[in-house]
Amino acid sequence: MDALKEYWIFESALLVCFFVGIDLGGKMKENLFKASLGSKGDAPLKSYDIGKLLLVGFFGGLVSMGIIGTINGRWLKLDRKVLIGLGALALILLGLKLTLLAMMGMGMLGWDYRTYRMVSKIGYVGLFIAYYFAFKKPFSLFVYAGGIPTPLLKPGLLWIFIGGLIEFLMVYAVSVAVDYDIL
Amino acid sequence: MTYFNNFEVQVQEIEYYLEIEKFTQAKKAIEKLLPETPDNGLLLYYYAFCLYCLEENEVAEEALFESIRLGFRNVDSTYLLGRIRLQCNNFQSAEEAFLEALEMDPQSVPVMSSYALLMFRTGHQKKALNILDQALRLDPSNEVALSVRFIYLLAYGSKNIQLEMLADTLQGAGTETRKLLNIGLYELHHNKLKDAKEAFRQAYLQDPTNTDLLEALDELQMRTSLLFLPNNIIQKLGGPAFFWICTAFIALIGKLFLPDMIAGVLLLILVCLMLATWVSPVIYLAIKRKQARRKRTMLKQLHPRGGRK
Repeated sequence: MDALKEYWIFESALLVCFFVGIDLGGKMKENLFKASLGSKGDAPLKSYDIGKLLLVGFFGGLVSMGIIGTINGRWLKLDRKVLIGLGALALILLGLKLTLLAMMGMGMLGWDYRTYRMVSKIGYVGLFIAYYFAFKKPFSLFVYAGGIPTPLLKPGLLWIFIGGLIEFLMVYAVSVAVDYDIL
Repeated sequence: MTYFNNFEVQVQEIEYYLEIEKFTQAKKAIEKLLPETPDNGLLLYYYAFCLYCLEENEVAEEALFESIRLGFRNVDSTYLLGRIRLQCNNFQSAEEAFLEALEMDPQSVPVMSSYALLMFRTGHQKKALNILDQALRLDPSNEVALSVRFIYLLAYGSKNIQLEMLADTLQGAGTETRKLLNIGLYELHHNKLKDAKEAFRQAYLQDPTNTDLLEALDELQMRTSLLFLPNNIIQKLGGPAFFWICTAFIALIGKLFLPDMIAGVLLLILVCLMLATWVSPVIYLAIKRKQARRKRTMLKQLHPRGGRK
């Protein structure tokens, strides 16, 4: 009798799994062929030509590259964690740049201004490379699936100006702080 | 009887042109036949299909609506409507059309594959991959499914997987032109411009009416010319980003360890190389325009009245 009971419970469990599985499979199939487009935040993919972002980074600086990189990343629907990581990298590099400037001002670093600018430019290119490798595969898929990159000239110039201005103000603030012995 | 036989023969001729992807010839044949049978839903569907393939999307949609109005409402017409809307970037209405086609035929692999492509275009990658997997399980050799998968693997797959996929698409169904285009795309993705140009040239010889192919060939002609040697060198080195890093690195090393003059000369060479990449497209286009003007002048001299006597 116990054996029968066990068998019945086992068979019932199997039947439940079977029907639940079928239902789950049905639900999965139903989700695959259910409309996904049309909600408010559901825009199609967009992107700038990621190779040309180098110009924005090189001439605009870390703030320009960070902002335009984040915009492009959201357009390509990159993973949020990746975008946050890249944003954090931009902030870290900015912090490092300002720290090196302060150290130069206080005489702790024997660099001249030219060396400092060269190292800054390497930092800008480094940030661009990080964004480039994050964008490379999604951008390739976007292009091969028929997407056309958005022109970069006007927004690029705009972000070079705005980002460059913000960074200049930060550098100026640090220089003044060093001069007035606040730092 | 003779009339219907003639009509059938002409429709067969149109279907043959569509099968070998000679859309311009098919369009001409349909335009000859349409005035005699303006209420033929199938003919209008074929006409819409040709126009879609020739990227005349607005007229294609009109012809297709007319075909549906005349009763040619089925999976094929709804699927084509989805494709037209996708080509026009009307993604939401394209999705509606694909889902409607899938309701009529849930096992249709081309519709599933096109829907997957739409999902890739709109950033729903997981959903696209699930749909594509389902499509390939139903028909592993379907040309549309293999093309969409190939596009995905070009972006995300390793070189070995891309080669395997390319081999699958070459063995699957599909015209010679399409197979050569896939080869060209693979070579282009890996920056092998001369191989890509050869593949596209072979594809163009198969289909000389394809203006998109001609544009691509012109672009490749430019990029494989001697004037673009600096661009190709930089591309081989890893692209502009890597080149700039090398320049910055060499500048730093030069400043620290080399005499100023040598460091300066090195830097000058690298900067000139970079500048050459920006200037070469402008020079190339200027040369092409000059050659075209010279050709027009020579033709005018040969036929002073523009060919009319």
